[in-house]
Amino acid sequence: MRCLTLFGILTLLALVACKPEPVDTWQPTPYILPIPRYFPTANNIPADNPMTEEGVALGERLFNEERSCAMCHHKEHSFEMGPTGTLENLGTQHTMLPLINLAWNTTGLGWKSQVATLEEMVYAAYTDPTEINADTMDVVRRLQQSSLYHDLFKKAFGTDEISFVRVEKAIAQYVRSLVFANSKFDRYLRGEEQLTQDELIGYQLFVTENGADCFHCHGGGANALFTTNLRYNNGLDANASEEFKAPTLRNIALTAPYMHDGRFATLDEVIDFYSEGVQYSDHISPLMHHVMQGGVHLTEQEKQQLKAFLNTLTDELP
Amino acid sequence: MRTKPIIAFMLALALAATACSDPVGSLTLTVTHEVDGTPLVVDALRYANEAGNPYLVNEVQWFITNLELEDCGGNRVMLAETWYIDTNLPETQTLRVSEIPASCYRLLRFTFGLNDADNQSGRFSNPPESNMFWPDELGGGYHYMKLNGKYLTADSLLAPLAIHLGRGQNEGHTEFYDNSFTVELPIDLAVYDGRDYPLGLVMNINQWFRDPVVYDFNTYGSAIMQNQQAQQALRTNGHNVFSAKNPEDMKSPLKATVQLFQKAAPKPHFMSWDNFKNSLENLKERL
Repeated sequence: MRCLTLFGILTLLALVACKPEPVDTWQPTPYILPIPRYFPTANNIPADNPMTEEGVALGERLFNEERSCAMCHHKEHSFEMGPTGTLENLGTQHTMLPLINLAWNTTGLGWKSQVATLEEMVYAAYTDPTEINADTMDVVRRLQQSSLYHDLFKKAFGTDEISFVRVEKAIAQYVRSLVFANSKFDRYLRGEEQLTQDELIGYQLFVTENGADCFHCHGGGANALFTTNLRYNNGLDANASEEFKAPTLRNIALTAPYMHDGRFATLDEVIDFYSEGVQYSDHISPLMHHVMQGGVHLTEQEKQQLKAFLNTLTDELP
Repeated sequence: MRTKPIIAFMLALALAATACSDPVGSLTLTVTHEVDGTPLVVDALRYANEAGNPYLVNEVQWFITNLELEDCGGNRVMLAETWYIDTNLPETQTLRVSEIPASCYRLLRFTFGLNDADNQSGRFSNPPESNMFWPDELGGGYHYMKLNGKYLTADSLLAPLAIHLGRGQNEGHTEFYDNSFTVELPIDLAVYDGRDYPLGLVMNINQWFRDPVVYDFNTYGSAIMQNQQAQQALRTNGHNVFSAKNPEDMKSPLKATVQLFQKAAPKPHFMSWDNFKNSLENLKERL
């Protein structure tokens, strides 16, 4: 009888011992990146950082932390700084570029395409002395002190490990989710809203070589990003040899000052430059067809019409 | 008596087996850009067109569509519906097609650009092809070709050169013109086993600017998308722009070069060599 009891206990123990450890089967929810009409299907989402609902939510929270990206990247200015973002105020080498529709930028980030990925850009922004100027170890330590962040990192990545690599990944996911494709012009293309006569003429100027000749570098039509994401020498200075990225013209009305050095405070100044202020140099892009005449020479009315069209590219903020 | 059906069956089997194992090869088509027999060197002011305009080329980006071979019996083998070629992207300059049936081939045929039926806006979603879009307001679809560079003006300034071909339009008119054209190049290609057969396709850039129309950059200017007269001139010249290098030529580049030189020997330029050299010297001094 005692043997039987002992056998029974041992069997029970063995069964308990063999019971597998409970496995944490938490899987974040895949984030479906919308692809608006005429946007590319190819994106820059890396294989080791797929977008998830939880990753994007964590990234948004990190982006808006007290000492983080949102200090300078303001939603109301297409996620850049707006009129105060001059070189004098920023102390940076170049002005900011808007952080929108970057999931489809496959040619490098920054005015000179100098940063390969959004994840690298987060690291660069945090550590650059002229930007956030943070010690990444300090950032991680501060986050580790928050039980909330342990929970959010676990939801986003499956474990509650907090590392700066994960910070980079989460913020990059959030920035990739910033899709802007619902401007008045988009609604016009979808047949939901009408453009004014001036806005329509402005668009015609935008997409014609004999008009304002903007489209080769800034897209439009079948390039709904309103940029090729390539770099050009646009004739800002005589004999300047540098090339800078053509920024997206979506939300352009919200992103003054303009050009890599913020030299133009208003859209009117930008249009004046392309109309009669283009400087000749041997290095100018061959797509600046009208450089020998100093620009495209728009009339005052055409300038206003072009501006009216550019204003239709302003999106409804999320 | 009973052996006959067996023999017949065996013969049929052997024939079927033979039919199933028809030798097929693969084809590697390589595009090269040349100027009168010498390989194009980009960003170098070393060329002159028929009108005597010194010029340089930064990049050539263009579309071939409906690329096919025609064999000696008139049968066609489709190689590619669309092929985008870009001098900035070496991987776009080679096309490998497998499953080429054994036969003798006498013709390489393609459409330069995209014909109206194929030239639909939104057809290409991703760059670099999508960056070739041609605004709907100018006829829509895509550039057939962007040849971007600079040319030396009479004032020794480097003016933009943008040979952009596509659906044509005269400014102020709503009529559009399909400027694509079919190219047929004689070849001598025998595919008889499973090897990879090389074939070359050459674009002679200077040929765009001569024969029959002498295309002067000073006349047509830098922006020609809304100038059907310029488009038509280039289209007319385009028929003589391309040539094929047969497998034998590919094995022996020297022979190919000589042949090409003979085919497309440059005609005398209006600008003398001394004037050309002087222009270059002026430019060097300014640089």
